Amino acid sequence: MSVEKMTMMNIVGKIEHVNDVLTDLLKSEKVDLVSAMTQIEKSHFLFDVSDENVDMLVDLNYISSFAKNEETQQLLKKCEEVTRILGLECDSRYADTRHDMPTKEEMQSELDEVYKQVIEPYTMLEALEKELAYLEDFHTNSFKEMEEFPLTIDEMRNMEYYDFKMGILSKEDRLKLKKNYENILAVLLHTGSSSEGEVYFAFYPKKLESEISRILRSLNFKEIIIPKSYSGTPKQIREEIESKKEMLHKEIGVQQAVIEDFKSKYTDKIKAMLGHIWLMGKVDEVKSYIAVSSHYFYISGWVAESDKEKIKAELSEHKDMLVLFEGEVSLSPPTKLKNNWLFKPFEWMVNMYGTPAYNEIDPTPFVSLSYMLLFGMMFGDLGQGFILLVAGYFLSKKSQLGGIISRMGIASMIFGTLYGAVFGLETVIPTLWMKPFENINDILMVAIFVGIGLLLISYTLGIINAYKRKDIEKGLFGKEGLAGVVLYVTLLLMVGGMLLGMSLIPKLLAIPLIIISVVSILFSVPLTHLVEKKRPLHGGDVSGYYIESVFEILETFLSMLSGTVSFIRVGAFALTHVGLFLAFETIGHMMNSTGGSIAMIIVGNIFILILEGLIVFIQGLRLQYYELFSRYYKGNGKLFNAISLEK
Amino acid sequence: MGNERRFSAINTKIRVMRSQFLKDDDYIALMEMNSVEDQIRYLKDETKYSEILKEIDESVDIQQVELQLERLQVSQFEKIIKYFSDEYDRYIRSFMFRYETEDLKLFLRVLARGEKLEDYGMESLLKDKYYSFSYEKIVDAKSVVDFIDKLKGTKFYDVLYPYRNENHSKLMFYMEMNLDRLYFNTINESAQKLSKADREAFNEVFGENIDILNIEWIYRGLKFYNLAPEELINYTLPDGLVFRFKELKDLCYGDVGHLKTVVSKTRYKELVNEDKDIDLFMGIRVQRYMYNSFKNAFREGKFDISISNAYLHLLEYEIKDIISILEAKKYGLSYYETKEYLVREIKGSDE
Repeated sequence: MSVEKMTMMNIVGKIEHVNDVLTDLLKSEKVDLVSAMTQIEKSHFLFDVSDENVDMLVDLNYISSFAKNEETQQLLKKCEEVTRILGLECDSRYADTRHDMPTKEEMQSELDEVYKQVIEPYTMLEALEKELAYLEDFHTNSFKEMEEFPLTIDEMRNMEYYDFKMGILSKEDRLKLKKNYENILAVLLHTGSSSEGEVYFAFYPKKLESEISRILRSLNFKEIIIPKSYSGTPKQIREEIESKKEMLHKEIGVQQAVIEDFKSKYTDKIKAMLGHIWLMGKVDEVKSYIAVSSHYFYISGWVAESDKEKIKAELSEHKDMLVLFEGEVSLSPPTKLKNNWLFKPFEWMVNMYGTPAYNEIDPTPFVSLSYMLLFGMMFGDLGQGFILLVAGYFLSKKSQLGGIISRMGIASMIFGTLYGAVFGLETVIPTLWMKPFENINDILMVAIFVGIGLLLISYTLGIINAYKRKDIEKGLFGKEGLAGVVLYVTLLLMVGGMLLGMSLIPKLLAIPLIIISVVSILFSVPLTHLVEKKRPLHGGDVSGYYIESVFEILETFLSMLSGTVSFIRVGAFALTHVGLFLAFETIGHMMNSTGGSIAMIIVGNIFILILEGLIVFIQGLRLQYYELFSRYYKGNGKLFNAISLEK
Repeated sequence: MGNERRFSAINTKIRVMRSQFLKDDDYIALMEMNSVEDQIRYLKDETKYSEILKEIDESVDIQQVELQLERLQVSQFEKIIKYFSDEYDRYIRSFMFRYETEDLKLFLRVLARGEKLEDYGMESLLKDKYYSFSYEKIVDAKSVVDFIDKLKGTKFYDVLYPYRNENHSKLMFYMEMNLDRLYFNTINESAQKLSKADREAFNEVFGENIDILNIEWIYRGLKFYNLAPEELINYTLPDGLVFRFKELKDLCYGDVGHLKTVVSKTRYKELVNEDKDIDLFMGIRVQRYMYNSFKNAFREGKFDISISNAYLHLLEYEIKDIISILEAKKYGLSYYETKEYLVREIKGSDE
């Protein structure tokens, strides 16, 4: 239910074990590596000196980072190609994390072997498919309109006084030809269409050969050369092509079978190999974080305090290796959130705004509870809530949003019971608390009080956060600190008293409190510096500071007012929810038929679920981010990101 | 987005940019100088070109000056592009296609002569990202076939491919025609995706441009090239404003005299004006016609693409004129002779 405590782990070991150690760390998924080089340079990499490890210390003076290995990159590339051909995937599933990993050279030769086996049928397959596509597109279509042509190509080739050409024309050129056809001494026939354009057949006297070809060239005529082997009539040629295509299909089948056969025979072996290469790639990737000397490697990374023992146990089998933990160090550790099942999905909402800093309170529990409260109030309906719950359950397998939606559904169901609403109908179940639409003022008042409550909690959290950061200015004198709270509460009591017509707080107390807190906000920086004994008091431009401060006071009053009033929307949306449904119900009545009414109720429910559900979801988020987070949450932390075998 | 909103910023910007163009006085001063060095020094000291010519030595080859000025033009393209998005971005960008085309034509000529590209020390004009082909690879080409193969995957490949295995010295002409046609079609295509008002503004200017290019082409084709009318008509560009296919066909199947009579009855009559040698001045007259048409766009000052369009072309003509003046000085032409070869007409000097 909080931010996990982190500890820095430093490992020194013999260089020959580096791959095994990294494999273990990858497998554990518990370590967030940081650059060991930087750690060492900043002298954070500490260990006790004893007789056995004096070498390790000496070697610290000769460290360098791991050189990126080009060979592995090439290996991975080749691996990718093989997986593409075989329809396999190179990923963590096949990774074998035992320690007797084959060497890179062994992997290389093994992969080369497989590559050689598959690449030959594959290149053939590719060539065949290309030829097939060519035949399908080109030749089939080119002769389409010439099916009934009685002459054979050979007969035409052998004509004494006439010649012919086949080729493709673009639309523009076709038009030109058409408009000037009377002047061209050739017969042009449209014979089909290919993917590149329309195919034409030009037939002309041999004597005019050069003239016609010049004209055709000026039309951008793209000639199709008919292969010598085709000699029959267009119909015969087409049949020839058909049979050739069939042959190609057969050959493609054969090559595919060869690849399939190879795959099924060696699938386990190939998978194991792919797994090895995947692992190798991963290990290489994380090597960028570690430092090496000629005999040792040095690893630094963050581990959750609670995982410390497990990691220790997992690494214990490595010999000649130092594993050291340093409790709280001055560096800023990454944040690993830990929440129970109810709150877990809301971490997504928090991280979307910003990850909590390591020494900040994890706002997730507060966010979860307050968000569910707000959403439930705005969208209270037993039936619709149930639908959200179910929808969220199915979605949760795909995204974290699903988890949030199902919890929103639960909240909606609870408030639905309190309001006595099922699918918008308010007559089916008894009302346990009140019907919003019949108690408009009450629901709006409740909304404001809920808002005030949430704001007060936010102020408190903000002060605690400031205390943790040892931030006197924000925590004590600032508008979100103690001074701000005193001001806010005093104002609330005064306004509340005026509305109720009775005195909740004596004026003699209230006015000095207000003055003290305003003055404290106005002078927050000099006051802080006074306490911390820092000089100069204003830290720079004095007049600028006060101008800014005065506006800040103004803004403080405004934001207190607007922040509080802002929560009226919670009540307002509870009303909208009912009002929208009323509209649909009325239309249903007007339709004067039971079927029509039912249809309208269904349509109305769908409409409300989707549209109003979305609006309320966003409004809730808005209240969280703007009214509440701004008062207590910074969210400038770094998420704990453990290295792992996955992508 | 409405055109007022789209163009208010860029049109203002362009007016400022245009105010930096050389004035008539600058041209006169340039023409009156005694040497090319003086002219370059003047450009460096007195004009907006000082920045781009900073590194250039006065005694340098005129080609180097030209390259630098053209680079400036490209940088202006880039400035203008920043104001546009989507279809408009693509439209302005299609002008860059022209430089690619010009580069390719130059390469082809060198290769067709059987010379090597590396001997020419080609320098790319555009930034790499604006080329649709790999400049480095292309410059490496050893022959026309190699050259065409290296263009594979670009638009150019399709139009050049049919000539890949033919006798090249004759086919240079065909290839160049095809490249030009590709360029015009590309611009036209990208312009047809603009808003209606811009499309109309474009079609007007573009149509005129096509008309005079077609007239120039047919005139030369009839007079010098000895081409079949069928070929002549096939190489004309589509989408002219006054001369559509039917009118062009009429010109192609007639003779030069017929062409002159027909054209002299249209807005393009200046092209066939017999006062000066038609053959010699046709090219300049074509450009002069477009120059005036672009200047008009500024006078009208509409909130549409025409101002950006006009600016880019006017800048191009300015650069062309500057280079003409430098070249004229190099070959010792007189002040009055030089003036004849400029796109603009210089006022304020007596003839």
